[in-house]
Amino acid sequence: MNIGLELASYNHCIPQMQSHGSRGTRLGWLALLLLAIVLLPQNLSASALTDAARQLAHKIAAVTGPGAVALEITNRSSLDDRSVNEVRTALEGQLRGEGVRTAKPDESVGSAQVTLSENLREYVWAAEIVVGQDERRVVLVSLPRPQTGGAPASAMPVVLRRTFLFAQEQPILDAALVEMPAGSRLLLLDADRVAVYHQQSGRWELESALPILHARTMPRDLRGRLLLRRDHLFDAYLPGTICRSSAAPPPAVACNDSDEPWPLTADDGSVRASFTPARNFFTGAFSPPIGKVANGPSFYSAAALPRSGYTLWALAAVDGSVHLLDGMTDQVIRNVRWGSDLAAIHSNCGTGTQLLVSQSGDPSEDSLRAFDIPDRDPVTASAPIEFDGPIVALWSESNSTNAIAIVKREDTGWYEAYRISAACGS
Amino acid sequence: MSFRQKLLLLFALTVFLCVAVITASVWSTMRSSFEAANRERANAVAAQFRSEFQRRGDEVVRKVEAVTATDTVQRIALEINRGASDSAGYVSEARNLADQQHLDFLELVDHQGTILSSAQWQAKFGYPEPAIPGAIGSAGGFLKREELPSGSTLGLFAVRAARIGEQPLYVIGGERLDQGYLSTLDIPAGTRVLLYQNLDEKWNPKSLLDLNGPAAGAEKLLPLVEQVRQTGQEARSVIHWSPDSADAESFHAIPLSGPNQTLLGVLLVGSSQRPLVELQRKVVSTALLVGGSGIFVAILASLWFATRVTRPVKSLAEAARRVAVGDLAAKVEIDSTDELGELASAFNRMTEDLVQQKDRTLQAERVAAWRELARRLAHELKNPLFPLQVTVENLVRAREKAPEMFDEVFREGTSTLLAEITNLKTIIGRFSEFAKMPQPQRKPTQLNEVVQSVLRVFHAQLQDKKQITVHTELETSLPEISADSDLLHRAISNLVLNAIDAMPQGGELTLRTQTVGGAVELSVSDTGSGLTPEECERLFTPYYTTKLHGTGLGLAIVQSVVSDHGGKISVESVKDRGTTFRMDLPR
Amino acid sequence: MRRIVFLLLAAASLLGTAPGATRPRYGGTLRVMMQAAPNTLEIPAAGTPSDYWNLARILAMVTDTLVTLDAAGHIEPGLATTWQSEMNGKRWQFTLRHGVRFHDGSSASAAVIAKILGDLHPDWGVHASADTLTIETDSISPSLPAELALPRNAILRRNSDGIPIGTGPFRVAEFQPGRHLKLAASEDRWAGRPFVDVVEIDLGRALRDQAIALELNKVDVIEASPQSGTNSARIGTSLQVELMALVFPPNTRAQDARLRDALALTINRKPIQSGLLRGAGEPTAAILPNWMSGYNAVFPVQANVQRARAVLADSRQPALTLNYDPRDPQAQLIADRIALNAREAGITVQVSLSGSPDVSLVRIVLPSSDPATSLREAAQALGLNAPILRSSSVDDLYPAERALLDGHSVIPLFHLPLASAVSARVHNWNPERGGGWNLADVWLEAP
Repeated sequence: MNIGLELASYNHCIPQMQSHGSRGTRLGWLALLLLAIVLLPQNLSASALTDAARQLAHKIAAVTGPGAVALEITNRSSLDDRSVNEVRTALEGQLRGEGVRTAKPDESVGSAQVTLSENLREYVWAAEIVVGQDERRVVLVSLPRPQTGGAPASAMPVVLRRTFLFAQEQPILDAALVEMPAGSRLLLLDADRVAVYHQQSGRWELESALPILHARTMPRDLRGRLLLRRDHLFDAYLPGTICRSSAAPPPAVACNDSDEPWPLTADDGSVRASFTPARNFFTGAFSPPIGKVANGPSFYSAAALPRSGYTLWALAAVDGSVHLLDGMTDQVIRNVRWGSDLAAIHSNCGTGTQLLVSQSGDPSEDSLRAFDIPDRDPVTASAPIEFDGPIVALWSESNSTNAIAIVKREDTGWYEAYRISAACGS
Repeated sequence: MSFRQKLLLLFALTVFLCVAVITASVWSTMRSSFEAANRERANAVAAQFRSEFQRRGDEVVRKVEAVTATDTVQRIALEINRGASDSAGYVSEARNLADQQHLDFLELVDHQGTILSSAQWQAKFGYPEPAIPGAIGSAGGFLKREELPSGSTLGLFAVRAARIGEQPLYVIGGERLDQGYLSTLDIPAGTRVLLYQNLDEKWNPKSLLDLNGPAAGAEKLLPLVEQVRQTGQEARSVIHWSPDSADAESFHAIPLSGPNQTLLGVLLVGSSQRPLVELQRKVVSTALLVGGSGIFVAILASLWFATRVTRPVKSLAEAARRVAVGDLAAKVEIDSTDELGELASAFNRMTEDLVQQKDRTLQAERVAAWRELARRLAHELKNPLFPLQVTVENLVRAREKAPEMFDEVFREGTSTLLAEITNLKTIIGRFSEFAKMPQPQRKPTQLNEVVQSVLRVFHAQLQDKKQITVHTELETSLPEISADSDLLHRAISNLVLNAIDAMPQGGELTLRTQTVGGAVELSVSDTGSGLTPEECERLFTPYYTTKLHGTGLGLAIVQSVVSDHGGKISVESVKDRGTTFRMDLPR
Repeated sequence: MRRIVFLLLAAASLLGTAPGATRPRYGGTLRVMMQAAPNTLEIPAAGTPSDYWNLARILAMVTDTLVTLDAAGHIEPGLATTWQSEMNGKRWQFTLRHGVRFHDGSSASAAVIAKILGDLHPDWGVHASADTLTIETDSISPSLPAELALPRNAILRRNSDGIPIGTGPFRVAEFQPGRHLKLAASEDRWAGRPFVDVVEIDLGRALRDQAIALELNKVDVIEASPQSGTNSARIGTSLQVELMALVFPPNTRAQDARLRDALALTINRKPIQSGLLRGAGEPTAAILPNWMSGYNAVFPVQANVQRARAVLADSRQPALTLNYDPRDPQAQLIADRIALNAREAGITVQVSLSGSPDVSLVRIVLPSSDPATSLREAAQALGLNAPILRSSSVDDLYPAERALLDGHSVIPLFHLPLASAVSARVHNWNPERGGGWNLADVWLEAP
């Protein structure tokens, strides 16, 4: 081998969706990328793969010239077999078109060793071409690599069910599904906006993005609550900021700094609780008081479990314990391995309303499980449903029949919104 | 050398020889005993080493078995039997296990002989362990050459297999066989152990190790090591580290071989010769002291003994000497009844007999001398008497018969008478002269001058007898002697006269002077008719003469003069060849 | 080390059963241990990779950069929220975040940042106007944002004691040089106050000590030895951000390129990776890791002793002295193994720390997820001429990297990741794949 003879040629850069641009532009391509993933991942990929394969074939042919070449393709990338076959087909087709015939090594004048590889951004395909004895050349093409979003889990457990709603790279604080005459709408609350998607052909498409303007520094573990309202579309609560949507189209949102307590349920007359503006928990001050309890422990989340004559409140306290407030007593449950997020879910089974609880433990996976609290002691009511990452938000939906769970996938770091519903099992 | 000295010497020699023979025999016995003891000690040390080697081998086996029984090794064995895809994860296991068991070497080797983990060369995993095929099955410890990053070394190894499933996992562990190992050996005092690691094709002095690393003076051990390297057999040799034999060491070289009989090392068990040599020296010095004292005592004893033995002999000798000089009264006083006593009695009897004999002889000689003197006197006197008688008778007859002629006859007769009377007077004068020989008046005298003066006296006479040739051989540097030159002149003149008389027909007269020892010698030689031995014996007897005329006093006078000067005179004569008189005069 | 990892995992699994909230909790003191024992809080010029990462992590806690890079090399906002290039990459304009203040309360205005960057890079033209910062360079600088994202370009001022004052999530509360560093949460951090109140960093602690301390629950975050199969919630491994390579100094006795080529051909990297690096890292013959470049397949890593012998062709070659960084615990074994491999082709390599080396086993940092920036930094660290790159595309990268490797004055061996481990009470442990620790997002379980 004479390394000095090694030469290389490259493709023209295949346009990427990324450029060094403003944040707005970046969000734009992210949205496009989302569409690419959610809507048409296979078709777009196949076309790009074929184009790149042809480019590579063209370059190989330019080096070898017409004749018989031994072609070997090795896949070291995340491309699946189908894609590799597409690449192979396209590559061989283009080679034939350029007068290069693939043959066995002993029948060919040269060889082309194609390696399908990738880096974190793009696929990189390299062909090492050996013609004659010592001449070894390398040609390369690259094409952007789609960001793999988490595939929605499809399995539905018998008792608890999860329905994948949406995934995006930015943190989702809360989500809500609205059935409207014009079709379903999906509202996603994140740090900067409320995004409204409408469903078209079974897929969510962005309809509008309502920016949330706030002056305060948002806490690191940002939490937000999106509550649907009857007189207007929604209220959005963020630490120190409350936003209200316009009552009439076009949709708009108005935000103002406020330390008003957040409603703990969607009911208008619900108990409200103060949220620390620079932190991620409720202070424990209730308004109105829960029975006689005006100040409970600081807590991350609360769930209202209706009982005959009273409401049992379950609070996931900051210290890791679970408090059960019935307006008279504050019972602390310590020996449970529950996460910080809990919500009520209505199932008509058992006590009628179950406590939906996230699990604490390994951040690479998380699960939700329903518990009944018949006599103030939690009793497991469902098998857990698993998620591929920690649950970062869990809120009851406005009607309390379902819950919204936001999961941060461990493998991609993307945020996924799920609707959790409960059905009676056996 | 006196008899006593001889006896003493004989005794001393005998004692010395006895001591020497005993010493040599003791030395030889001691040496062979010591050598045997030394050899036995070396053999004992070698045997001890072998047993130590065996023990250490067993220890290594025990440690390797302990390693094999560890959970770690069992786990690894299980994993490789389960087809663990990546066996390289065990790299540091061997070192941990080796540390636990205090092993210098430890390797975990799979059934194909590939190192999974090596304590001594961690980087060597994945490489084959060449010793494995040969070492499998060896029950005890064995020697092995071990490659290390810093070079090769020797080790005492053992191999065991962990068998979980079909594929055994071999555990091959060992201890380093180097100076550290030597330092742990339990060896007797006075011995030391050196190890030659036979790692190179050629002799490498750095591979010879003692307790402190490469051994000093390795080159001196080269022949011994080479011998073992070539023969593969045990060998012995004594190495002299310095001219002092106490610094020598006796080495017993033991070959150390690996499983396939490859010579991997040579163990040299050295025993210092110092104790042996010092013991030998002590024995020798004691022996010398004892022997020397013995010889001294023996000499003293022999001196006493010789004195005791030789005293009567010496008395006898003294008596004999006295007898020899004429003291026949000498007696030997010995109170002994042994042979010496008898000898002394015999001697005493002999002297008594001698005295009697001498008396008798003296008496006979005196009679004979008187007879001779009487005969000579009668002869001398008879000769003139006869003419006197004839003349007187002629005068008587002439007076009677022819008185005319008487006067004439008277005149003639008286002249004859006077002549003969003169002759008689001369004869009587000679005898008288001999009787009254004067005592020498000594003064420093040059003998040569006396000789010259004699020759001058005889010059005319010799000139007349032209047939006599005179030779003088006078030593020019002849020292002066204390002598009476007149007496010497008479004595020499007598000798010259005798010589002339001895050569009537002519011949050669030689006078020779020379210094002989502390004396001056004069010899007078003639080439005359010579003398018989009997004549020689009687030559100096007074009044003895061989001549037809002469008194026979000439040589007696010569002997008298010489004797008076403290000298001596001798004569040598060969019949018909000549006679030489030799006169020695002290200075 | 393997045993320690097992212990760590066991400890982690035991501790993981403790009940606790999953929602981030504010408060608490995060206890950290590091190998580095810096006397000043600056990136060391001649430190080990560990020193680099430790200081980079400290600076990342205290300071911000204008922009940051994610693992894919994408630019993320930092103190600048938007950016654009003009004049073909010779001029870059950054819009700065409003209202950011240094820990001493002073404003991190465009003018201040321009002054800081201008002082760091006198050859740049740095101009500030209102909320905009403009940087002009003489040559085209497509990787300028990546350069700005490097820890050395952190926006910071130093007080009279040399303590950095930045805009990061933590401020330096106390610094005992070489021993201890205490960071306190910055309350008005623009990205939100960190969850923990205080970060206590014990400096100069050996890896083994760190592991034991973690086992004894005396520390929350430690460095760990990367090894395969140990990724878990408690032990995180980054992408490969270090390069281990053999470097021939200019005065090497291996002047014959055939010898260097042959040596490269003898090295069997796979056993070293699986045995000595405990499966961590990736054998390589390229400077940039595949996750950056994507074309490493064209740099073959297979050993070929026969070819090495053929290359040498019975020529007489000198014995080579190989040295290594004694501060690197694995380096000696790897050097030994390389010497062992070289023997097979008849090349004598002696591993020694004394004398002038003919070849050195080095470990360098690939500091940026931007391949062009990392290639440039690596070339500099390896003593090669820095390549001139128009972009980070493979079109530019491949020939540049190939040119650096021609002549075998560098033999890349492995790309290595970093690993860290955390205690069970640490939550939201999401170390950056590029090696950063991101401790601002970490929160601690309630005691």
